[in-house]
Amino acid sequence: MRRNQHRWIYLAMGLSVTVPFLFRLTFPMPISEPVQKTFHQVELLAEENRQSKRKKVALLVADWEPATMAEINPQVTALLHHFMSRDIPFAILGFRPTGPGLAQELAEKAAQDWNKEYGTAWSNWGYKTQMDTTIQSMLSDFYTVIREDIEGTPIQNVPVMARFKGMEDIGLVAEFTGSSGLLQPWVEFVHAELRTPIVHGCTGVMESPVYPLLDSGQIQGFMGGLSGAAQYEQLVEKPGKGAEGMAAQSLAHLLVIGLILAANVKEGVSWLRRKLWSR
Amino acid sequence: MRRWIITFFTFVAGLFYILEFVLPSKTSTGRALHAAKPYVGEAIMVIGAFAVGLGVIGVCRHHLRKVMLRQKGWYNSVALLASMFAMATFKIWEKYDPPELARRLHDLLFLDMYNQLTVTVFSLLAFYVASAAYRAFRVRTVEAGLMMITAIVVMLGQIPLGDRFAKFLQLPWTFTEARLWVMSVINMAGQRVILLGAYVGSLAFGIRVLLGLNKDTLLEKNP
Repeated sequence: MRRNQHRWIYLAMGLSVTVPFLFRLTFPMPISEPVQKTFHQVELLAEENRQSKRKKVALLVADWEPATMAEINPQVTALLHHFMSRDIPFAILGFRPTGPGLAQELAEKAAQDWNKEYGTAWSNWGYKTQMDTTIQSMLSDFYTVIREDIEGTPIQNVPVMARFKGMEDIGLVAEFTGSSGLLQPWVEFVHAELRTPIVHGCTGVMESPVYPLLDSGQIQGFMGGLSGAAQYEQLVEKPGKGAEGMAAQSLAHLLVIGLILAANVKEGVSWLRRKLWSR
Repeated sequence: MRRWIITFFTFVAGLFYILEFVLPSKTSTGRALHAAKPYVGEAIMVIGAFAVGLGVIGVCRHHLRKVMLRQKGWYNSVALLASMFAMATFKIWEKYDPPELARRLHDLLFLDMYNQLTVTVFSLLAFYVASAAYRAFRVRTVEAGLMMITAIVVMLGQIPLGDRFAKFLQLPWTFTEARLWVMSVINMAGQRVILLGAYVGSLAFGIRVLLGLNKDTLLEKNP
């Protein structure tokens, strides 16, 4: 038993993350303040666009990779439903090679529910390298850096971008990543110079460094991990993979807590035994 | 000579961005630097592209030597080189002459293999975390005890069942609230300390690089 201990742990973990999907259990999530703020920021942009003739564009920065898509994809899907339900035009851009492709896939899926199409509802600027310099150059002269979309169409010829002049027409930056350091340049260059609101989506383990940025007002909202996605899905009333996954995550967390407690009880008992034996 | 060339270009490139940021755009120099910024940015991207090429050459040299000399694990090098060239070939083929076959082969390699392999490797973390939590998270000191309690509170605050559990225990607060407090008070204080230290450190490091005092960036060995 002792030798095969890790196998039993692996089996328990395997069951705890798969069985809940068979029963499709969902639980209502309490909405946390950072997620509520993200939702509010999108609503503000929608309101601003309603009152102005020139619609501002939301920029979806797709910096995540397949490894983290279990957590990030549901967040992005929920946000895309929000954009589309409020007729907010958006653009996709990524500094990780896989990001723009993954975001495009999600946008195409979400668009089916809202009868939207690529080109008229959103544009994809594709993958760019050298994040810091690219963002700085976008601020100085946007069209030097972003010339055409992923289909090779010049940006000005994509209908949704027809009235787009430059970075000042971006009403919201929504940055999604599972890696560290990719949010910082948007805060340092775009928010600092233009005061563009920034919202962020990240994996659960990457949440902790984001709190100081939210507190200082350098970002306006964020959602962390699957829990953030489930909360946003509730806000936009589009339950999806976030809500579905929370049951599995709940069970997995409870298992980890149980294992920690069990290990410590075992340690305590053997310590007590050693003490009694030595007497 | 090489040292001086690298130091010179590093200094000029660093100085450009410092002056562009510091000098007001109303002055003629500031205006000129501001206007040149997109072009300097493009030049950096081009240099970055060259670096990718150099990286490919480096990888090929290293692994080809391993294969030719039949060193330990040479078959892994064969797999690496074959995957690298297959991926590059199909992507370029698909981009410039997109027949259905090229697209399908690219999708097979990228979507069906690369993506799935990355997801698989990452998902293994759940199993390792569970096993590590059982074997390593032992409370032997007060600090370890505090850490364990905090971890449990944060984990319970992350899941919907946590609040039901708090209600069951008739606690005056929910685990969601407790988690938010831990993250936005205790965690934030720690994060700010780390960030402040890291930024001061990176400032000092930046000055060393700019002045050519850092031997790593000059491709020289540290003593």
